[in-house]
Amino acid sequence: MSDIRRTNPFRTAVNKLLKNKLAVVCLVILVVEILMVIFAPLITPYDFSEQDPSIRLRPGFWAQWTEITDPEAPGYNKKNQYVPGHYLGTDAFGRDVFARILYGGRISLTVGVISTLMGLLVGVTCGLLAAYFPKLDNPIMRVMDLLFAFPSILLAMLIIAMLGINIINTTIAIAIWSIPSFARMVRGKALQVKEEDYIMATRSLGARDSRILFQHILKNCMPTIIVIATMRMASSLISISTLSYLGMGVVPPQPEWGDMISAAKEQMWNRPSLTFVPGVVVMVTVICFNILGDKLRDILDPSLKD
Amino acid sequence: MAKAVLEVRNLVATFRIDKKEYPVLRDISFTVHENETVCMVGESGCGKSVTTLTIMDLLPSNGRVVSGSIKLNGQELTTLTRKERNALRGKRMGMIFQEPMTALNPLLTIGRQLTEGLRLHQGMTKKQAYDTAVEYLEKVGIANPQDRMKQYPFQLSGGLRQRIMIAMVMAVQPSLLIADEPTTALDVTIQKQVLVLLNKLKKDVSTGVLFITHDLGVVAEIADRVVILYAGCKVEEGAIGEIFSNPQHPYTIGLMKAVPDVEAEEFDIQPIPGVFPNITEEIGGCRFHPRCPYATDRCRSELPQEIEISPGHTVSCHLVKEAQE
Amino acid sequence: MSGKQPLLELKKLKKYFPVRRGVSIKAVEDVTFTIYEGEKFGVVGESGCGKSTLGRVILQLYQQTSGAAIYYGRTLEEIGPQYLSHEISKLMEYQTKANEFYQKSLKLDAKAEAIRKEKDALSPLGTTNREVLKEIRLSKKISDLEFQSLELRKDASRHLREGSRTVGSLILCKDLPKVKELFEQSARETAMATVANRALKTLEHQSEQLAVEGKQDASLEKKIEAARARVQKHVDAARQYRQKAWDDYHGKDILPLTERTLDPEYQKKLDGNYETGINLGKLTRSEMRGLRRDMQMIFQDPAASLDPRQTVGKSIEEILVINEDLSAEVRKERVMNLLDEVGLKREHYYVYPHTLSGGQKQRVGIARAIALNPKFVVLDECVSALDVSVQAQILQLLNELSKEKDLTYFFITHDLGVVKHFCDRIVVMYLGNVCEIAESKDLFHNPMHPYTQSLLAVVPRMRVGEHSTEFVLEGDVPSAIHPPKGCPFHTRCSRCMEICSQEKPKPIENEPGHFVACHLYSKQES
Repeated sequence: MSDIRRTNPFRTAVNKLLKNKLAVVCLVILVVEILMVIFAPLITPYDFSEQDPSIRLRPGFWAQWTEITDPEAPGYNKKNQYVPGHYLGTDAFGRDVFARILYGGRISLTVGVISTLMGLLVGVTCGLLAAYFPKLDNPIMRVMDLLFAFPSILLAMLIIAMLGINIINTTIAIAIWSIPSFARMVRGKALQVKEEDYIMATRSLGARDSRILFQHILKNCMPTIIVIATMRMASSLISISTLSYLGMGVVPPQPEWGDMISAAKEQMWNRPSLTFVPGVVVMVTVICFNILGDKLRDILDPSLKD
Repeated sequence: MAKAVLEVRNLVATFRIDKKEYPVLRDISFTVHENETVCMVGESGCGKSVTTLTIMDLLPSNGRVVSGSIKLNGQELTTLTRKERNALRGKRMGMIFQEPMTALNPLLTIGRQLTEGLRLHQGMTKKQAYDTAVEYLEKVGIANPQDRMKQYPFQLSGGLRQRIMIAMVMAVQPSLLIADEPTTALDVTIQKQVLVLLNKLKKDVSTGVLFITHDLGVVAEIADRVVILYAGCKVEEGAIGEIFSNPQHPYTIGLMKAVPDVEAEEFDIQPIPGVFPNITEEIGGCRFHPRCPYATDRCRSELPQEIEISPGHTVSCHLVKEAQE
Repeated sequence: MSGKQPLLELKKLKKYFPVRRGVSIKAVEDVTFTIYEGEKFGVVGESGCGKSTLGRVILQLYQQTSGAAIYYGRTLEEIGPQYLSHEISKLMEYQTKANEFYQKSLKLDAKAEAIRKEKDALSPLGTTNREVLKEIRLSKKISDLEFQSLELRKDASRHLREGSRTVGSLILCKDLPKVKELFEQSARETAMATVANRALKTLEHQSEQLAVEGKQDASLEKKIEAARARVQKHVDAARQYRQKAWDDYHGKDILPLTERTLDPEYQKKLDGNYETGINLGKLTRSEMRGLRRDMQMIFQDPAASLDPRQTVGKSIEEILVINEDLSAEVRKERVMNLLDEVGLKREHYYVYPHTLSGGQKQRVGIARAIALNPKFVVLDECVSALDVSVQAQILQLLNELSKEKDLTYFFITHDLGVVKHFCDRIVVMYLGNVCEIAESKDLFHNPMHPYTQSLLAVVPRMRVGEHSTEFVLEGDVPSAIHPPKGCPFHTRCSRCMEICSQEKPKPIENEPGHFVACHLYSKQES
């Protein structure tokens, strides 16, 4: 038979992804962002901790168009002038915001992605086991309830307090924080999938529990998992900043997006761009993750093919 | 001849899938008279359910009526506004669904659901509506109607729920009753109860019934006239006796042979070969020709016209037409 | 039905689903019948009659509550189930316990006898109040003792029955230790045969792999021969030990464990309990997994029984991945052949189920079920969701496959027309109970149970204008949580008698091969 279509599932998935313009835009944005963050030293000559008291709280490149640049003109204010090279302006210590965004991204993105993946791994496993083995259901889910019922910030603080303040422990704390929501949602979905006829059919073929669990139930829970993962990614990014704000995340002068936002709140009125710029970066990243997750879910659903 | 309740003429409807329009009903015409049960028969995907949805104006958002006319008691429906048609639904035409559980609101008592329609459409007072509802529950053979009025749908068996649906629809005395596979989800013993009941009520209220089913045994039991659909086309129509004793269209004949009848002696069911066409599939000529054992070149290229071979018995098939000539 | 090999025997099979404490849905009640090899066995009933549950219990997808399903499609030597040696080790316990219980019951009997004498000694007219009261008290005591004694006897015979499953009436033997020894030896040989069998299987796979690659290996052929001989040797030995036990001890030196043990009829009954097949309910999970290749199932809803995220090819291949150790090419080749066999195209290997029509999906289900050449297939309403023209296609395909591959079908349906055309023998079920078992023709020409009669009466027929309303059943099927006492059908039966609400009728062979569970017929018997 020559006309048999051989298809590589991975290639078709990539092809389908590339067909969707919005998804491609998001993918490009994320890839560019990640590359910029990785190659930060090549992009900006400034260091994230380098302070220059002479140029504190300067605006970014937009000041060239909005401000009076002529020193002779009335209303001219030197403090509102753009300093060439500091594209996004400087903060209260005269540090370059652009450099801080790039270096801060290293922390924010890694912690966000890794903590989400860790939470996903543990949470999904717990959820699947709880759904599939009725005996494990109660013990696992009660522990999850406990985690849920605990004020999340307090929980994270407790974990960090026990393990010590450093970025790895922050990641672990955020991961633990996201476990219950994965477990709950996956358990719900898995309970539903478990009752489907094809699970019974696979069992009647002689399949082992592990096969049913990972080949069938997990696969059919994927859409749910992807959606929660993208949602958690967003909240992880925000959680890091919350913890940083409480002094349990990054240690100054190490930059981090959330920390930058909270640090800028005192300058909210005289230099709003300090809050606005990292805010936009976080927002764009989160939206890109969300849209990509959404598209990924559709791509993995064979009935939405073509 | 009795008064025509429903007249459908040259109805064409399409579904939009991936920005393309595909016809699901191709030029369907039939009439339902007062006190008559017309059965619409066909396999899933033949357009029988779409026909009922079109009449009720309940097509899904990607469906659209392209042309044709639907007249209820002489009144043209296709030109009415949405609001006017909503007013007709439940008042002059009622519908019974396949799955009575989904058609009843699980959170309201039976009594509440029964009286609601009466008060809305007939303008009855609470008391009048209650009495009418009880009367109709008795008519559909439900014992202790007063107690049943207080119950919720989940407390009732499938057969009872379907009876209540029937009572609900018949209580407003519609001129047209549309029953979409009302007995498919029921057991045979319950199915028989419901069929007997429908036959009785039809005479009491003197409505026209449009009965959708895929079960030819049920057709034989309840129908006065039969319309057979295949892939959106009407292939044959006739009085029940005519169709069963003298089927003309190859599809009708094939269907009859494929049914495992309890009366037949030997293992003699014969399948119709091939696969039922998808609505996105374009088939030239007669829609049935890829599965028809007698297909000729003419069948492949030319759409057959409807011909009347005896009064009230029409067929759309080139072969029958050629045999006539 | 003589001359036919039984494939599956159900003995008093029961399945209750617990709802909450003390309340359970009695889905299947005491179902007993035999399915023969190559038969198309139909089960008919309304929804809730337990037919689907029965199918799943047979396949051990649900655990049975009590009773046994004995499978004869494989010999004990092929499977070597663990329960065998376990049961053998318990033989002595069964015998002693039975004896103990019986002795206890005898003591109680003696006590009761003494009290009866005391009672008889009372003045027969019981003139005074006190005397009357005493008499009542004594009678109550007697009946209590009698009841206890009866229970003990029941326990005793229950133990003997359990034991007889392994050794038949040899459980009554005085020389049970020796019998046990022989059976232990037989079990050991059985286990060895199982190991040898597994080795043989591996070799056979290797040879198949070579055949696909187009090579041949003479030494492998020789190895296979040798392995086969080894299996045979152990099988023969196992049988010989059992035969020896049978020859040496059967019917000799029978212990008077209970009053019935000396009765040849009772011994015969115990012999009847002797299981030569595989008791599916006692297998471990992994043993049952091994047997799944023999016993397959096709589901009602072809759309729901295929994983939507697996291509058709992968779905069918799965059963090979699970049960056979084959290379990817061999697997694919087999799947392609299966697709041909069930009338699908080879291109379908790469598509997802949602692109197929209902009939095609069901063909995928069939391909998957027959992939390992099973012996027994449960068809759970497998054509009910299909249109008539496609239904006929699928039935025809199933019919051809059963002839080609010697399949035995367990065909579950609510459609009387379909069973009539498709099945050889039919059982009618109502509320978890068997109403009637008969050959297909017999059942339709001469339905005996009132339920069967009314079912047949209400089936829609392809005839115009002659529809009776005579047998229309009133009311609904009662709840399986609280089934009616006595005959389960008596609440809707038009010919209900007094006894029907009291006592449950037992299936009685009214005509050869035609069993009916109805008091209307049991009366004539007695």
